[in-house]
Amino acid sequence: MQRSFLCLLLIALCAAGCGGTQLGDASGRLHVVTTTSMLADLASEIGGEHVDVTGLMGPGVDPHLYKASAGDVSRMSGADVILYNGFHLEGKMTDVFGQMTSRGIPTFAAAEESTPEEALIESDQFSGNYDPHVWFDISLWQGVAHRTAEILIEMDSTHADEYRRQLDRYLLELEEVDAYVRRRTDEIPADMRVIVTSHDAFGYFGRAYGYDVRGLQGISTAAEAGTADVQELADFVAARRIPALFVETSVSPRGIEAVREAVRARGFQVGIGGTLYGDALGDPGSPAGSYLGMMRENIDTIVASLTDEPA
Amino acid sequence: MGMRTAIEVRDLTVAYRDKPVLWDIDVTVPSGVLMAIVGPNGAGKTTLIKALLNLIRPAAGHIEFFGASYEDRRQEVAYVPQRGSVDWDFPTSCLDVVMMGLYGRIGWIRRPGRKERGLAREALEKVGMESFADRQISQLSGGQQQRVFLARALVQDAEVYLMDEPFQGVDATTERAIIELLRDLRARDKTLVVVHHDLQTVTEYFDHVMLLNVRRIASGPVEEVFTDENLRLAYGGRIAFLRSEPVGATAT
Amino acid sequence: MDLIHQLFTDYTLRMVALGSATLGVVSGGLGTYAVLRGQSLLGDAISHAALPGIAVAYLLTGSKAPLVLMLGAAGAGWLATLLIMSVTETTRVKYDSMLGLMLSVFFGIGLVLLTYIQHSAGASQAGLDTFLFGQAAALIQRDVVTMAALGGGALVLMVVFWKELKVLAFDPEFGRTIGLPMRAVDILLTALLVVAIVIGLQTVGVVLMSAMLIAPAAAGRQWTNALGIMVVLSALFGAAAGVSGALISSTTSGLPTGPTIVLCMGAIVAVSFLFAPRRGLIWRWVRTRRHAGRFHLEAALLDLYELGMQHEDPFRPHEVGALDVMSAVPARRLLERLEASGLVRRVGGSRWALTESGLQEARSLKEERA
Repeated sequence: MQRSFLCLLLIALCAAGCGGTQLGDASGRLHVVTTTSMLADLASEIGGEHVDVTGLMGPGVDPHLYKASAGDVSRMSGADVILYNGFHLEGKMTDVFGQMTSRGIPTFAAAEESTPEEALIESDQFSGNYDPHVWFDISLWQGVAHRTAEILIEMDSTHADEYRRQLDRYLLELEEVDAYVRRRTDEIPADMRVIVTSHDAFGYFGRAYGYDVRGLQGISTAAEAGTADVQELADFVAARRIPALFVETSVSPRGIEAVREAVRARGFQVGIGGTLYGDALGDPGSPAGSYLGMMRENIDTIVASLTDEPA
Repeated sequence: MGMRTAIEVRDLTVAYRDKPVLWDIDVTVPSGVLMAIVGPNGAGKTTLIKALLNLIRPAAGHIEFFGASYEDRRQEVAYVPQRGSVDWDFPTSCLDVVMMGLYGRIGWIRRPGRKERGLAREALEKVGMESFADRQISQLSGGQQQRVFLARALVQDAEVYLMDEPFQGVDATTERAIIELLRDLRARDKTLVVVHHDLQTVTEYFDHVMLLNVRRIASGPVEEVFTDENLRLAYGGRIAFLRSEPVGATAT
Repeated sequence: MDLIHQLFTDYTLRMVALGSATLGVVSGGLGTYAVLRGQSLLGDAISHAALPGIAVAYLLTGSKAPLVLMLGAAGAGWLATLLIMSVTETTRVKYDSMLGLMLSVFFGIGLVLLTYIQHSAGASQAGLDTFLFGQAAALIQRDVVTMAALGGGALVLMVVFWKELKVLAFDPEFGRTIGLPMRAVDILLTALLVVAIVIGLQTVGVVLMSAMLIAPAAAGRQWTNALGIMVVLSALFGAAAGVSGALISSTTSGLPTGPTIVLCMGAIVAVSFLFAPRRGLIWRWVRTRRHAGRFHLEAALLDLYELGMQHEDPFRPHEVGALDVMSAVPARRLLERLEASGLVRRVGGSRWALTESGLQEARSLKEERA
């Protein structure tokens, strides 16, 4: 009785240990695992019906603080290819990526590999550290799209043509949204083009589309905002008479609320203009659930808040 | 010696994790006596005191103070615990400790006032510690600490005093002072039950004694009860004989 | 100073300083009882146990309003305390084992819940992990008012039940014998501690909160022997750490306020341990040296006397070597100091003898020690 139970246990362990490492699952599709929802969206757009995409981080998840769970690790182990952003966006997952690579699973830092150094924004506190939020500059995101297509073609050459076609189509769509953002930006008076948010996520957005961007916390949300940070930001907002602050979906609004109170104590009635999608897309199925939709939503929110008369 | 029964104990059994610490204790303490409780280590002496004070829940038994329950007679019973039961580094003065004896009578929100302070000073005087009233208790010697605890009990003006090893580790002067005090209380018809560690002084200090070793070996007047035979029963033959003539030949 | 001026004029600094001061006063005052009872780590256990309470409160209500999360924290802290008490009373498990166990288990559950919240859909869950280390810079007026109201209530209760709490801390068994409901007072004290911890979580966070309960009282004890003064001092030290932490962290951007407050508290403790009169280490060292000095001097004088008496001539001179043997400290220095006081005199190169006054002094010392 005990011996057969032991045998059963051994068999079960073996079965669990022999995870699927063959290319493509039963349906023949490429199994892609990504970290951020933006990358998941990108992989779906380019891969189409030939890929099966799993995004580890859902809407509202902060990638700076995200720690991979055991379930995530097993999902990654079962992937054909893993895509992540790079530049330490997924700051707490570096070890896991190393693990996956040593297990022989192709792991790519899609954004990091596709963005040339000249295009990067360097952190003014730590040289060698770059701002990872490259997806907010559509031209840079086009580069990531190119790289993603490359990777898919490399992993699955049988569908290379379709990947290229999907890529071309998507690049056009990205162009359209880029133009949309610029058009809408023109509606905001030049001196009002300031985005104040919880952390420095919109650096590339600001540089690409002409906004002055200030975040309460730095490039990563892992650092706690200090009193001086709140004061400085409040001074800035009051001096420039910026009508609206923005909170982000994936970061606590408390910091920005404190800035708002501090600005009001300086005599200027600033409000919270709306919620921007920072480090994650919106709920799947909602307009902001796709990258294109998210960029449109963000610019709409920004324009609506900054063109309002201050209360 | 009074005619009343101060404490009546029937069938008292206290267990600690299925081991009996006190078993089937019957004892009657008449009022106005100075009674010692003696026995070897682990005999249950402290446990008996605590069971009387309802600090420990007995497994069985019945306890009465002057014919009523402890809860009803609480005001008439005062407790002097072992010195080691508190941290003497606590930030408070002697007077403050003695005043704690009156907290039960002050009521919830009231602060101790002039009346309480006066009573506490009187109690300190009785134990010869009035000049130490504002002294920090960590600066006291062992004997002085013991006297403060006594004063705390005295201030309650009780009828029955239960004391746990009040002579342990005190100097000779303090010991003399304490026994004087106890005799004084007895003269005023108070009942004193004292856990005592020093067999040498039992006959000199006490008029009643109880020999305890988980079970009650014997209890009653010292001349009758404090015999070699009973001592042997209580201490299991581990005791060296104290005197050449039979115990009880000299009464206090 | 510009900083002090800012304290009154700048909203953010004012709020952070007020909130931190409130936290300091309440946790310092109430923490006094925990420290005196030797229950310092109970505060640590309760703070860590609060974490799952915060997560559960969010999961149940979907709200991140401070009051809601505080209720959750209080509930979890309370539950942990109940478990600790009941398990230690009914089983063989020791108190500090239970403390450590509840601390880790609850905290672990809290981390698991936070990770689960992080993974699950829903964009509004962000920010619960700031409760780990607090986010003092984000304190606004509404938060400070809540903290002050709750903390003030707790302090009022502390004052009302002053004598009962005193007996609970000093001699709870005796308290029971005089009819005080010690168990109820114990529960009250624990509840007050939970309140103190909960209002501090936003400022210094779960991990550091126990420092704010224990350190002010540890520092306060060094300076006084009266309970009332100790409570007041602890509250003041807590407030001082809160305000200075807030001020210092505001001078440099990127300096987190919560940990800075705890560091200031640590500095206050260090100063108290070193420099407090009577109990401070430096004081004690100086006093020991002074006393030891006197002790050794008297010993040398008596040795000279004894040596003399052996020869039945108290004024007989002796070699310094004979005194060295009997002294723990080199005898020459002692003899020189005795000479300065006129108690001995030098006879020849290395021989010393008592003087008249030296003999008198030696005799009276002998009498004293008899």
